[in-house]
Amino acid sequence: MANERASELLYDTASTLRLLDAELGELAPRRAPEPATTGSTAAAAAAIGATDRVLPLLPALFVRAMGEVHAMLASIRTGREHIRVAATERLAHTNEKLDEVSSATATAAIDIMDALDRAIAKVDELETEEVLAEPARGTAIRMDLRDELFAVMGHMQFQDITSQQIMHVQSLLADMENRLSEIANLFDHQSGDGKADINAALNARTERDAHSFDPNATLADAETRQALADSLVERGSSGG
Amino acid sequence: MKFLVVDDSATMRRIVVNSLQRIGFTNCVEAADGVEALARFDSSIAFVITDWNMPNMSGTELVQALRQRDDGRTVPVLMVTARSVREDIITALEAGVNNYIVKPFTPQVLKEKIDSLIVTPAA
Repeated sequence: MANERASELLYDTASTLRLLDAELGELAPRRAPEPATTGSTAAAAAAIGATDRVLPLLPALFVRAMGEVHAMLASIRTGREHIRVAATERLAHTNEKLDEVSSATATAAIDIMDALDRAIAKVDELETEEVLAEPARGTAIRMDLRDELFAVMGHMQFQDITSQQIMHVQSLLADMENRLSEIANLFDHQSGDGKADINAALNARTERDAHSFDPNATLADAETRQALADSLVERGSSGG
Repeated sequence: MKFLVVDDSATMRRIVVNSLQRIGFTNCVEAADGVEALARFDSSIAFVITDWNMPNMSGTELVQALRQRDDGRTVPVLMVTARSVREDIITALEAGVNNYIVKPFTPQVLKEKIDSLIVTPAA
């Protein structure tokens, strides 16, 4: 839509300027006549007559050209606003998401290290004389150790959550790339066809990836969120 | 008892399969999205565990497709997903999901939900 409007404005402006150029071109030789071709008084009178006809048109042409330049400036201002929105709001959201990724990774790493610390403590405990002398206690510690090691695997779920968060960031960046590309097309309408292909490919990729992630994926408050799911399942199964 | 585990994340599939093995279910088939899951589903599958957000075909679309099939109409379906907004959970239940687990989950929660669906089979 913006592209079409910009193209129309450019076309109109170009037409007006061509008309203006033609009119000025018509005036130019008469303003600085060649001595050899202006020998006669009649030719000079004709030139003055033409100038008299064209001069009254000039203010209107200048007003029209100015109007079109104003419209182009408005388009540029709109483009600048789009860039501002893309740069501030989208980038801020992107930063927030990347902070979440960083935080989720740090939380998972700490959980994994805690679980490994506990596992190492269990291994140390298994080697103490008291435990070696008491096989039943050793069996219990080995079961705890298995649980701890298995918990480490559970913490690896952070990879799925963070990959969804990163996909969301990618989609935001792709969206921003798309908007900036559209704005660039405003100023480069003649080579717009190739860019349209790129935009179409970009949109297709974004659309496909949009199904692969939850924009709200998080590691936080898992128990609270599970409790909500449980209550809704319970309500559904009891027909409420 | 044969499980079909559907998730586009290989990490998550492995975590779910390992959790299942730990609680005693060793017969698992895996699929990376709804389309692959439908291709692998047959009457030998007794339980489906699926993610929601996947390329090609989502978890809710998979459940809807299963519910249209004679051999998938009553199979218990457990959704394991990061989506936890109230409206999403309701949408999943309306699509035909029998129970719902929010990621990240613990093996205990997985066991509880499977037990609840095995004890009380889907209608």
